[in-house]
Amino acid sequence: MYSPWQMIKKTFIIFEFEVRKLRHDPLEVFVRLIQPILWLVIFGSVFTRYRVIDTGNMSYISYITPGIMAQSLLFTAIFYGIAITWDKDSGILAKLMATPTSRGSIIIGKALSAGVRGLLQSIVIVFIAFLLGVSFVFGVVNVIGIIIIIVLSSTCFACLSIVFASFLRKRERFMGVIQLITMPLFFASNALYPIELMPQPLQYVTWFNPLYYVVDSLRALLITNDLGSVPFHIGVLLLITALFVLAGIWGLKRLME
Amino acid sequence: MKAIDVHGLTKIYRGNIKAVDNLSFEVAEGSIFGFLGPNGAGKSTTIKVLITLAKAVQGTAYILDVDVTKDPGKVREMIGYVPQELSADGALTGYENLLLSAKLYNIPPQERRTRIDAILAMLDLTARAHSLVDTYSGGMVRRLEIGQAMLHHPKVLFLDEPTIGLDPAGRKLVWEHIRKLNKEEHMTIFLTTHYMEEAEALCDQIGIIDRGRLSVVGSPQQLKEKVGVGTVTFILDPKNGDASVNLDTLFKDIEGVTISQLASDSWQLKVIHPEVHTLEILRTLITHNLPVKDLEIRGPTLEDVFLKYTGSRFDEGSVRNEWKAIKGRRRTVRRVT
Repeated sequence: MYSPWQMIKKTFIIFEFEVRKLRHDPLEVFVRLIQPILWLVIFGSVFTRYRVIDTGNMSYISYITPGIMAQSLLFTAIFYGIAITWDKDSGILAKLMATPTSRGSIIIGKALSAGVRGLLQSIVIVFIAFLLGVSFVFGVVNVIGIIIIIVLSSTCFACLSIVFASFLRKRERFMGVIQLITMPLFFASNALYPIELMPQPLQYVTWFNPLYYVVDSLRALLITNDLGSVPFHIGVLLLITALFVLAGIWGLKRLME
Repeated sequence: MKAIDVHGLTKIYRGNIKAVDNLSFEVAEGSIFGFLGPNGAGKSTTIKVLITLAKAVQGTAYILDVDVTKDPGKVREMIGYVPQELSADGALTGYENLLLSAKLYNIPPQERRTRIDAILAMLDLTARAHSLVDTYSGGMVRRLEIGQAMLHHPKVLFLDEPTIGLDPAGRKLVWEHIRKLNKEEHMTIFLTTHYMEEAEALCDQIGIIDRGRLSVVGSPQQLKEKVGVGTVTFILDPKNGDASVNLDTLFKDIEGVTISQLASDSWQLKVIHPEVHTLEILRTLITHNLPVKDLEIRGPTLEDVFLKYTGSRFDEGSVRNEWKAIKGRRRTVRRVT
């Protein structure tokens, strides 16, 4: 219906104005940082000191830094559904959808801005982890890889959230259900402990958890520099994200009808 | 060419709710068409189908000969839409809201600035262009939204309850802009409203929708003539009057008249073309030694049309309330003693 050029252009227009909103009110980005910082500074420091969880040669704080980054990406992006229901209730979404803009551009544009939030938060988390004694590997490939992972995972979770919003419709219901989703996603992943420590059946579950691929790739790119599995994980993430974008487009249409 | 051409449109929501039921109507190019109906009558659903946000299960809808289902992209380029809610983005400035619309409607970069500035000036928003919309008043937001919707010179503009929640001054200003767009840009305007005076002040044609079906279409004048029935309301002076006269049968010679007592001393006649019969009514009352203290003649209003065609009825309570309002206003008062 729209040419690919139009779709890319519109995606970046939607993205541009989401970023402008962020620039007008950056406070929220930093408020959302408090939780991951507490995880790192309190939970991370205590567990590192008493070596409660066996993470091999790696210090525990180094182990959970990518996990906390992934958690902050998840928790930020998963609330995009609320923003969409808000836009729907205030007529903004209807107006947007009545302009010559493809639904995909609206979804991806908004989801990409979740990536910008995620990126800003990740920078701060890395900085604080550095102060806590975590040593990172730095390289051009690593940085590019990390940006790809951040943008992909934010898009993925934002779209997932939009699909949920299209079913739940009311903000109150949405809040409850989101709590119900984020916690299992977070705990049934390798964010806080190696999956080998989990009971066998739960280990299988993690294969279907997108957060597992995010954490694993971030850990490889930031800490271990063992990049062998990263391309595969990016591939899996790309596939999941593409599916969620399609589901998000469907959800958006459903929400508007 | 018709600006809007809807034929046999049906939309059913989950749970088998028929929001729009075999709806057909046309809107002439360059006209202002008012879509009236009670809450839940199907107004918003019809708009949603026309602006390509929802798909009808049956029937066709064309905007300037373009099918809304087959070529929604082209339709979106030709239309502008202002939703019922105050929908400018509060987290952006007024200028940015306009810039967003300009970009989404593919207005060339070199033209954006001049068009936006012109619209800001026209809508009297230049001074506040770079403040966040969250700090605007309701009237300012509404004006900004109309600006957003007209930036790309749409051929058909959809306004859903354009003045809901605005104060009288804000409403007048919005009306002026709507008229201006219609006259100067020859823009076809399709609006929904709950306010009868708004429909009367703006619309060339009015369609009344009830339970998803179109009840009647016509110009405000035509519709009022269709109803025809107006009222003559009078208060008698109980001190000087002849209490033995039976008013129920006094006016039986006037065709189609019905009489009802509103209070111990006040009566209302419902009659076709009340202005024609007023003298006759007065003469009858005087002949029967019934001095009139107060009298009001009211021709049919759009409200009467609305009530007739939406199946809503006056109950006794609302007639009394209306009477109280009339007594309070005392607009058309004549003393005949």
